[in-house]
Amino acid sequence: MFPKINLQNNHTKIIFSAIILIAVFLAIFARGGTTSADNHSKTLLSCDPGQWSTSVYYADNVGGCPDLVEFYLLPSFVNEAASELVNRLVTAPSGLYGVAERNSGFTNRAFMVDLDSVDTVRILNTPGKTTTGINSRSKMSTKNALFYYPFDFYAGEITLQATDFQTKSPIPSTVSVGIQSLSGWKLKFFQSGEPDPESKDKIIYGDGLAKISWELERANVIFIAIILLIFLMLIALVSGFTITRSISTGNRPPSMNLLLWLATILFAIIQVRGNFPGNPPLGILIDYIIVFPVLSLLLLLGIANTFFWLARKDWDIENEKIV
Amino acid sequence: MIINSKLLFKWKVAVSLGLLLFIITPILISSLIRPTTDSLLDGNALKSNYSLEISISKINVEENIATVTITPRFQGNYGEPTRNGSLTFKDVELLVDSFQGSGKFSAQIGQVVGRQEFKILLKGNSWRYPFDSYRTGIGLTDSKFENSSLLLKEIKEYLPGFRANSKSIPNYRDDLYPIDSTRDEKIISDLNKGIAQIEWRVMRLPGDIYAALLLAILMLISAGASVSVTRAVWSGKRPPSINALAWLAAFLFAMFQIRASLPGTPPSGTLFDLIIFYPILIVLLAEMAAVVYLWIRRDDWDLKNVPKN
Repeated sequence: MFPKINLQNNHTKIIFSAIILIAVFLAIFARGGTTSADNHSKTLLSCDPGQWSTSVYYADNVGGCPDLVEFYLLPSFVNEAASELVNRLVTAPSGLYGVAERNSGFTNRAFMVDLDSVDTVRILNTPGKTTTGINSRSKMSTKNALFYYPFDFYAGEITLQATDFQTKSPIPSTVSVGIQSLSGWKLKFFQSGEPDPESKDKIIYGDGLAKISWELERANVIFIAIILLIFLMLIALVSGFTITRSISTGNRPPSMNLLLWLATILFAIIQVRGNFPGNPPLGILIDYIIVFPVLSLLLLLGIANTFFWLARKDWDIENEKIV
Repeated sequence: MIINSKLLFKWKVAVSLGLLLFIITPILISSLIRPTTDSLLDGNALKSNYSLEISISKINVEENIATVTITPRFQGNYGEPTRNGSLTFKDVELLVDSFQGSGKFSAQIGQVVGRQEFKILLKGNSWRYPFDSYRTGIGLTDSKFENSSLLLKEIKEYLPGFRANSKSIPNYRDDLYPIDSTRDEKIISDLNKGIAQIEWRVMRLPGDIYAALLLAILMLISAGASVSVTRAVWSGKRPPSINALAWLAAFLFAMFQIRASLPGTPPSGTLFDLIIFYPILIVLLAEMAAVVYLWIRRDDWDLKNVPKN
């Protein structure tokens, strides 16, 4: 007979304290997603008195700001089905071209904005109006990078350009990024180039062609979640396998209740798969090496148990031993 | 077993009070915690015929976009209010700091104009669900600068699952206002020039937070019940049985349904999942594995409780 074990009260307390401690630790330190940017990208263009007076981009305007266009990118969401990183792009004119605002900018001189994004057209900003915001949809991957979920990694670059409507010449530009985290993603922005001495660490693209690179990968919390969910599946499989082995050796009788339990577990595993963070589509690598094998084996165990229940004479037999 | 009648009475009173509190609490919280409006936007502080109603009408957390609606309510020499807008007696043009759309609210003499919508950026994410909060804001500038005394009145529209607290902020740096100006004086000075800046802090409705917390408690109680059962089986007080396994599996299945019922359908992988949902799944599966082990190893498997004669 298996020895009966009495959990001491202090053991229970230790277990519960440990669980609460881990939960508190995660609540304080875990992050659902992070967005970072280099110093060139995360600071906004500043216009302190006299800051730009010696700059080639300054034409003695009211307000002390240089004559350029600042592109402000705010990470918005990841469209996994379309494999697109969506940023909101706010065009903030400065100096001769206008004034920056929170969601747009007020235009003083007409200029056009181009962006190498999915489905964007040239935007014309006319004087006396606010600038038009653009949804920057950057293609993350043209191949099936999601196949390697949660180890999928994406990288790309966004190119932006502002052009003066009258002269058709490029307007000097700069890029800034709003540090807004996306649930489940680790996003990084960076620019290469030397900042202008007057700009306080901002890179000014004198030829008008601004470029910013980005890298995107799953946040650490996603790995924790996936490990937990895979662990769940494996526990279910091992439990099903152990029970079936015990029945096949004749140690325990086959029973209808057991078949019900296996069916419930099978449904639960499908639910677990549906709860993978980010809802990746079926057919990714993790499905082939974990989910489909677990489901198939559980199904086989169900079939084996059905066979035992039908073929053996000890079906649904009760335990009559006196303990 | 004899239960003392006084003790039973005390229990009945305690349970009744507990149930009453349970029912009354969400009603009380929902009625006490209301979205707040800035004192300069409630329509009582200022008077002007150049009046507009402003409200947040939609929140799209997934796409980080909010929709602001502006409804003209012109009076006197500016116009005449209609049911859903105004008949305009003057040319009006207001530049709206919107992310997308026309970027201006305009009407010509003799035009009937209704409410207009503008999309603005919403900043924040759902990591701390149900205590997640978001920030958004908008700026308005009268492009003609001749229509003085802009009056804005905020209307609170129903936002499913959210409430938005508004706050007016001065448009310029402090040194551009007269020294020792109060916040209200700065904002009134802006409004007199036809300029306004409004910020909103968007949070979940108390009712939704309460519902999410109740579902979390429900999950924790379910886990607690399953821990008690497994503990009784483990210690030998009760026999390990397939029925206990089926019960645990049904609980496991129920957890996913409860998770799917969370108000606002938060994405998978939030802090709620990490500290409540996933640990409970692990606890249930670990218990299931323990019961399977005991069912195989112990001699009292599926033992029935037979009363002694």
